[in-house]
Amino acid sequence: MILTATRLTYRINRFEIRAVLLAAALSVAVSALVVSWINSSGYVACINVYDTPSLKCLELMDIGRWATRIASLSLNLVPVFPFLAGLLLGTPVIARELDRGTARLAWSLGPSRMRWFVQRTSPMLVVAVVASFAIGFVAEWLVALFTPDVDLANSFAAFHQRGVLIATGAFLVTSVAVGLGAIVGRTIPTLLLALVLGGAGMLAIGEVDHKLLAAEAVPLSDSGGGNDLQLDSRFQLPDGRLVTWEELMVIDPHAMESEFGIQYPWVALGIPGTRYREVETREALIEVAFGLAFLGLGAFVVGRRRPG
Amino acid sequence: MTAVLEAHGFGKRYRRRTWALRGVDLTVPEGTITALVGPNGSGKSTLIRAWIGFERPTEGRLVTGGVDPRKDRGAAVGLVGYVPQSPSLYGGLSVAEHLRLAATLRDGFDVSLAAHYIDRLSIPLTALASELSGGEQAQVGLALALGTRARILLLDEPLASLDPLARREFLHVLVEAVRSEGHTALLSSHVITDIEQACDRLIVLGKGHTLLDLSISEALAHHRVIEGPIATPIPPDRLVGSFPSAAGEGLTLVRVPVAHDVSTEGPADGRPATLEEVVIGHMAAGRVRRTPAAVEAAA
Repeated sequence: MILTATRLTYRINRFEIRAVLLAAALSVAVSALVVSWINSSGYVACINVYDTPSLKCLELMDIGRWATRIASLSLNLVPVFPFLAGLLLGTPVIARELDRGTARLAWSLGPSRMRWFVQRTSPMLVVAVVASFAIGFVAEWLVALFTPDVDLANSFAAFHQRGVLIATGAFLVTSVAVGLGAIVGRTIPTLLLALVLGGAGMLAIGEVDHKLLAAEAVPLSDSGGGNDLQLDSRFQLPDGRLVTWEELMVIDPHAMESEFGIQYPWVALGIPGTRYREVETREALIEVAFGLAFLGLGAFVVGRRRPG
Repeated sequence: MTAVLEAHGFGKRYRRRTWALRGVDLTVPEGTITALVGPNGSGKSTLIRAWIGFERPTEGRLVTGGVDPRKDRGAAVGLVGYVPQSPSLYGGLSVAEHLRLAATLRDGFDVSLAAHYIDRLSIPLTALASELSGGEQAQVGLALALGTRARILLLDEPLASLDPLARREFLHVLVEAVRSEGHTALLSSHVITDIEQACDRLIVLGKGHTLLDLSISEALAHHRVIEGPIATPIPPDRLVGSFPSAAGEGLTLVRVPVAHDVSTEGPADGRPATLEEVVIGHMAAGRVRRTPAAVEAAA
């Protein structure tokens, strides 16, 4: 029964599911080709080499530049993917069924609207999460290739552009579109509203997370390199206190008058790369929690509203 | 006879202003096919949708197979097979997939029974819903409702978009299914000839309330039509309403006592009314004031 319901949900939304899976498959295939060529050709040894390139590197440079561009493009598109996939998969699930009247047929056949809601939304959420997880995984693969010296499990390199956050972002946007679809009940208005609210929601979560992280920021050591997440900076006073520029101007109004510039050491504040997995997990849980809240809202509205 | 659909003082108001229905009291007895008739906007669809729990009463109470759909919509839906005016099938699914879909949504849905009705209507199971005509879609909607094996069928103007042959086939399947399974059906329709063939009870809604609630045979026996001007005054309690015939002649529908003696009737008693005249007379009564002056003017 579950398999039949899943297959029928796929049939009902086959255009959207195929589009998302095709885009994900294309991205994975292209990235795999790039990674495979870079590894097999030996171009991997030419990446991040700032000395005089070897003869082999010079020979591979033309193709290598193209491979690098493709990889960069692929990485730049990664943060957009969960958004587009979520909108495409989440909007039609409820909104289109209410819009076209098929919800009325389904609700008159089935005593439990919740069963219908679960049957419709689960496959779409699974597709959104699986496709985005594949994209996030491949992105991590590409980042690892181009930053071979970095331990990605302990680095904020390409933060929000790789790993599990791509999948949880897709879950959140899909859930927002599902919830709004249940309230609005019209496809195009839901799409537009989800575009605005989904974007605003992700920005808001980013902002809240930034504030949470800022509260936990510690002075970063130079040894962190590019692995740390720098959030702010301060000036260090002789007594060890860390102050902002404005505070410094109050404490020492003549700080700028030195011919050698400001004499107080500058200290970067942020989160050490060693906390990457912890921060990533926390942000993923926030996105999942908000997603579940929107799904709950959608289920509540479906249980109460008229079928249109 | 046990009532399976009941309305007690039912009222539905939209947007805090317009009352679609108010003070509706009626019952639909078990095992009958009841026609629900009324002009556009008389609240037929609202009443049907309320019985399946798609509309919440503003006032009053409904009962669907012993269940209050407001309190337990799931149970009410489980007792009902519903055919809406527009069946709204999934365009990308085949007819067979619709049957499988229904089985995933409703425990006990009889796929083979629904397929049997689809087959009888000569609709290919492999056809996509988007390839079906409006009539065929309505018939698939009926097959889905019958496949639920629900003991109550609510049909909201399913005949509206059908050609005469498709209407006949639809009604044939409906009547056969209801009679063989002992179901109860409530059919809202504008097509009086079809009602006369298929239904055994008639409810006329108008002006937001019940204008008539009788069996078809009672409705015919209790009404007569006077053609042309009214010669002798008619008691207000017997006067129903006036309306023009298809040829433009003035007709007046009057109620007659139960034991009407045909042998003693005179010209003033008029002639037997057709079901269409009964329905139109009551609909006209619901629309105009029933004063003798208005009746005279209309006649």
